Amino acid sequence: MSNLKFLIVDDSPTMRRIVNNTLKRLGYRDIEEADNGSSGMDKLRSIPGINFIVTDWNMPVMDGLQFVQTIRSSQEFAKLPILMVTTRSVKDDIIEAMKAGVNNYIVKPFTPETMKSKIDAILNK
Amino acid sequence: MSNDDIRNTGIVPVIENLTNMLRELTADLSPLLDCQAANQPAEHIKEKMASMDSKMQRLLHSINHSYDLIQLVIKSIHTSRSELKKSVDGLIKKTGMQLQKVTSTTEEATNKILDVAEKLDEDQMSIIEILDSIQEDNCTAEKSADLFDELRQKIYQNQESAFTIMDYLQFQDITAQQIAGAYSLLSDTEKTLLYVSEMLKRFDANFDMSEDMTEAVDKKAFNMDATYKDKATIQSAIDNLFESRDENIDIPEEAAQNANGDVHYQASGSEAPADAFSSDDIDALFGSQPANDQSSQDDIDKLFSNTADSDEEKKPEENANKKEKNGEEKREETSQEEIDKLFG
Repeated sequence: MSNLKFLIVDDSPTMRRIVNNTLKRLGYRDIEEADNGSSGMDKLRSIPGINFIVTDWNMPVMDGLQFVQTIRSSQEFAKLPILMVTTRSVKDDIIEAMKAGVNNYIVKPFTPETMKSKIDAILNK
Repeated sequence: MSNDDIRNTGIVPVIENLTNMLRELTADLSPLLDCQAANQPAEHIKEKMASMDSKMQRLLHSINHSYDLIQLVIKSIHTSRSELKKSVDGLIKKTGMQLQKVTSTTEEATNKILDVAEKLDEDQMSIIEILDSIQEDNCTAEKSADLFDELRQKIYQNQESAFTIMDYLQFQDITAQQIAGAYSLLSDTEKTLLYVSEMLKRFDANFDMSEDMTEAVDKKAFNMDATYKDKATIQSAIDNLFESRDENIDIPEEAAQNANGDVHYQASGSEAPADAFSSDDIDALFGSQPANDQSSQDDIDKLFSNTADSDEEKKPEENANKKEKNGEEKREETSQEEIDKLFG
């Protein structure tokens, strides 16, 4: 558990703080943050060891879907586990995210239990 | 003066031109009506009459052009009224509903947080009572141990309450997206008003209006349909979807979502229409009118070629918008359980 290094990508500082607190509550301490997909890519390139991504969908500059597609098409980060946490709950959107390469999907507002179960599900695959 | 000249100069110069031509004709006519004209040679009078005839032909031509221009003005006013009506009936109404969502989300979250805060306060009071009883009573070791266990339990509960409040604060992100949605709708309303303004200013050569618009809305930065409802059922369906990766899994719709309003703009993400109203919409509005009116609409479109161009660029989004309005692209809500099945 402790060797996980998270990158939270969300344009809302409040949401980043809430996700950060939730991860800490679940026992994870090593957490980085970015406010959109583009700065998320910058963090991935500049900070070594990030091995789990929690990303929002709706963000300016580069949204979550573009972010996932960019990661999946890169050689270096293609295999990183990605958990999408978003308000979007329309089936077409979810399937689009799945096809883009999202490993699991949470609809906001979420509970810590949901976050835990999705992280566990990704790690246990 | 050609039609283009008339369009470019505006309505006031056209009327002024007509007035000048009539004044010139009156000036030409006056000497002929004067009794001295009788002494003029017939040839001279004939020349004068020929000149006046030519001027009257030009006047008639100008009046015809003015008539065309006034027709265009009337059509533009008609179109403007339709655009404004759509703004009021659609966008402004939808904006109101969007803001209503913000109010109800805030109220729901505030009440949830208040419930937890009240419970926290009660628990704090009971902790104080336990501490008092430990201090005042001469407790046995066994009784003290029980009381400490109870205290520990209460403290854990309070910590859990603090976490719960943190979870409930997710409403801030949701209302921020709802407000961004309302702002986006207002921005679309502004576009409509500027379109109407642009349409009307072409008839006024002296009209000068600032082209400044409010900051462009990045529609992929928010989900206007974000709600603060309990997502347990939806999450459960999403889970099923991710587990099975079966795209045919039935996904329940979020009941409260999209339930109101006769105009729905899918402003979330890139599918949001950049411009709610197109010239096609306007044509449709005038669809019941005679065919020659349709070609007049073309005239208007040509006249506002800039607007027509920008409308052309927006065609794909408009088509998406129309499809959505027609219910061709109905988007269903998905539960978390179904998503989980899909993702396996």
